[in-house]
Amino acid sequence: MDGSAEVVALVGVGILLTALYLQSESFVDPLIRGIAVQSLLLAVLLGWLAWTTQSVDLAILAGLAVAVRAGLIPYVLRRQIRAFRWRMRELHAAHRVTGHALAAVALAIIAWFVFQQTLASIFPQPGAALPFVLLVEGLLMLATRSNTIVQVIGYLEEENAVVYAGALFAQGFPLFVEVVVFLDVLGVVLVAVILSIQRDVTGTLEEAALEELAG
Amino acid sequence: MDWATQVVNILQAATVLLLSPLIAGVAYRWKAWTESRSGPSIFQPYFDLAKYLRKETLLPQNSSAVFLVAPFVAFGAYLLISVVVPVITPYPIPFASTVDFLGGGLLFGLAGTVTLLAAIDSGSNYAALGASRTVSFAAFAEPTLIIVFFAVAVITGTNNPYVTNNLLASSTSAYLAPTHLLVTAAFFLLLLAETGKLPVESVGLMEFGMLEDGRIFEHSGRLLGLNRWNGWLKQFLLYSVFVNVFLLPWGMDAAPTVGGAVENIGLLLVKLLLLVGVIVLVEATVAKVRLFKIRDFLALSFSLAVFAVFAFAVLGVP
Amino acid sequence: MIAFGDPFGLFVLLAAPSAAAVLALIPYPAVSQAVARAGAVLAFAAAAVLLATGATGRWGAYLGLDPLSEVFLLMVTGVYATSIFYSRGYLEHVARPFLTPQVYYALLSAFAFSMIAVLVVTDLGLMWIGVEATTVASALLIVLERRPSSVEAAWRYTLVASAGLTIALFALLLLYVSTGTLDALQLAANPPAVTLPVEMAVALALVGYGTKVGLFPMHSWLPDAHSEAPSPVSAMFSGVLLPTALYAFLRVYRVLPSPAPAVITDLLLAFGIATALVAAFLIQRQRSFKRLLAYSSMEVMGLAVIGIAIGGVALYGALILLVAHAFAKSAAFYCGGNVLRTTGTNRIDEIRNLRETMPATGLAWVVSAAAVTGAPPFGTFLGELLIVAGALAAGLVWVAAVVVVAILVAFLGVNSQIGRMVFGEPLVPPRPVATDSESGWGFAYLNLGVALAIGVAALPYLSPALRGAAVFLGGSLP
Repeated sequence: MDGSAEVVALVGVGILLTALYLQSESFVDPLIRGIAVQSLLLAVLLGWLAWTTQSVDLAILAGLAVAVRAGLIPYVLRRQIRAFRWRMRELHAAHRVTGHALAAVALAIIAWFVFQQTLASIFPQPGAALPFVLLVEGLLMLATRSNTIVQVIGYLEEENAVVYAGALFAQGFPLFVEVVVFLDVLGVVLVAVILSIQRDVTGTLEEAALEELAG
Repeated sequence: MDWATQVVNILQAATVLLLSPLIAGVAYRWKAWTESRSGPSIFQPYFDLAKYLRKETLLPQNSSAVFLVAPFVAFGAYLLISVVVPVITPYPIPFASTVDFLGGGLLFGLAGTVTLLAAIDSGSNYAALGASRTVSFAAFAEPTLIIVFFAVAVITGTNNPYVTNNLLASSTSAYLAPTHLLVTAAFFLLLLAETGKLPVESVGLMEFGMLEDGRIFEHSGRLLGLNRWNGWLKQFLLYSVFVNVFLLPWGMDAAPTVGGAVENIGLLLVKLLLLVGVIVLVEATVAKVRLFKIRDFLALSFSLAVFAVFAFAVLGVP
Repeated sequence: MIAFGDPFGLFVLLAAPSAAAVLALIPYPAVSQAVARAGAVLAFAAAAVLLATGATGRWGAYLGLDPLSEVFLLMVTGVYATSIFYSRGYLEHVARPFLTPQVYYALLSAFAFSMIAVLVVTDLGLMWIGVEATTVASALLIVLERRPSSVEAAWRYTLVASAGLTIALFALLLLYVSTGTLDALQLAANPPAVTLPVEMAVALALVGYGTKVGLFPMHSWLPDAHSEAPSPVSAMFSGVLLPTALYAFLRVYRVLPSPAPAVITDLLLAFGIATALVAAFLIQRQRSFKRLLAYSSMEVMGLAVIGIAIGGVALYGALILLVAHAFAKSAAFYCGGNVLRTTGTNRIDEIRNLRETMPATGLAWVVSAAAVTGAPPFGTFLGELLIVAGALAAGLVWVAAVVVVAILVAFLGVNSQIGRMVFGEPLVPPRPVATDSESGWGFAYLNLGVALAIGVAALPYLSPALRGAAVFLGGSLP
């Protein structure tokens, strides 16, 4: 195991740990900061890979991760809830912390088994299953959470998973940077536009409204 | 078997027996400092022990022999553990081949179970309440412990704590591997829960949330003294395993001599005091979680432990 | 003189809607509307000419045309053009629109542009971007009427669709890693060896793009988005967005040799049958006519997927079904839009006797409802017939039986409900009329005519392209 593999392993597990944390957290503000940390970790990984492979694309991706997913979107989201930042939580998730945490772990293991059975042959690198697992965790989050902002976070997590996958084993994927830019655009559209429309249409951005906007 | 290892063997048992009240006393005093009290002397546990041994022992009317025997069985179990886990040596002492990590876990389980049985046997509602609470949380804590052992086993390929200690002390990459870091975190959380620290349990007189102490509510005199000592032993042993096998595996004198073992006692004390300092800091900064939230706390520890094994499986390296 | 040949047609096809999307933002409503209309007509003309000349080939690294894309182009631009024209009457009636007409036209043009882009690019990565762009462009259109429920629908649509699309992107990553290229035409010309990762990529693409097609477990956004969007946009959703997403899947599917491995065709069959049956039975219990039409689209998508799974004649049938359905369903939504703005409600129970109150729209509606559910002599009937025939020819009698059941159940459900609204006894007391401008039904008749023509007359003209597309997708036609 050379140094590069160790960095990939350590950061990868860190990213997955944040995913686990996001699953079991019910307060919204720590969730936003959690996704920012996850994006930062991803940026560290991308930066490292960019440095070792001298790849400009990966450096751009790292910059995007920092600027958009660790910076802009969390900032906007936190502004949205600033009036009730300390108390805003997803109520029905608060009662299921244990269940969510255990489900996240169980799902990670299932995803890993699936990966071993199907794709391990073409991705022999250690840790290649991590993006796949992260993708499944993001889907779980989208499926189990009902709060609007938490769903945005689930979406960002999925995006992180795809970027992670692309950087780890699909280097040379044509137009990957453009694809990621598009994903970011969609993320920003989700956040900025939908939230502002919501304020415009329902006249308020209280917690109840955010809780109800089921997706 | 030469005389040196025999002496070391006895020395280790004696260290555990005699120093465990001291560590508890230091913890009490430092905790008092965080509360702006000067606190009791660090030797207070010894005085308490002496006091308990002189006191009269009362037995509940309905209790049977279990109530009487349990503290001794538990004490024996802890005594056996004290000569099988790495406390003052990085090499196996003669008794160490008796059991491995898992066996050590089972011995802890034995001690816990007999204490539990004694609590139920006492016929007291309070003790039974403590027992039932302990069991309901142990249902989450025990699997975590098992998974932690699995994680240790996958790192080294064996369930021998000495091998683990040597590997971690010698290899930085093994120490920094995600599996090890995660399992250390999981074990630390478990340690807080098992030794009755905040945020799981706040120990004091007539605390509603107490778990461990609830079980020995009806014991008195020598039996109570023995039970208290058992608690300190458990804490000392868990701390030792944690610092020697997980957190700070370095620096132990590997030469199988009495002098080396004595040196290692000093080193162990330093490490333990560091750990006690950290735990006191944790206790000073966190609030107690609600009783029903303890499950969440333990689930987190469990998740971390499972994740440790998972990380090993995914990354294919320790 | 510049020949209106291949690259020029393609250029017009891309430039007209994109220019319209930009120029429609001019702050004069009349100009904006005229620009949008001009862009749509130009695009449609270009698509028609390209189809008629049968121009195929590729230009540059990323653009290319083949019969499959030309068929879909005709359908997309056709519905796009009629929707743009129909929009004027509909917009007038929206009381407090969320978007100004200029932004509406710009977004609608951008929406169409993204779909056209999906159809003319050869790179699967770009195609994915195009599908993603359809989500971005159309999300806001759903909220036009400013109801809380439409915000919710837009939210669900964006979230579910983008979650599905990340799975599709993952599929593309897999495909790229196993084959080393993402050029659809190149992959189709030299299919890679069928390995587990390639199969998995196709399966994941089915799930991912299937979300946007509205296949069964991933369809949750579809009825909401269709019922909340303004009718011209619903028509685009139902008629062409779903097939466009299916097209993106077909491009990935074509990577497999033909016949495709049994595990993939079985998966397609399972998704198709589940979608068709679930939609057919959900049709029965709908109370809103827009949701009714949405579920009917879902059922048609299920049938098309079944046809793709069977291959051969059934695949040919599926393509005919998609094209005819696009025109028929858009006609149905235009009529629905007229009814909605006249009666002010989309509840089936509150609408009766349209035969007398809105004769032109009512008649068109009944006919288009029959058309979308596959009544002869419309093109949809022909398509469904061929799917059943293909299933029988392939020896899949039970599939044929299931398809027939789904078709009949959906047919009865849709037509009985719409029939009740048009021919039913007047309500007592009668519902007050919201607005009494009945315009725009002409486009419904126009599109119905196209759907009818596909069934009875135009097939010989479409046939070369359709046959080419079906053969390209691996069908061996008699």
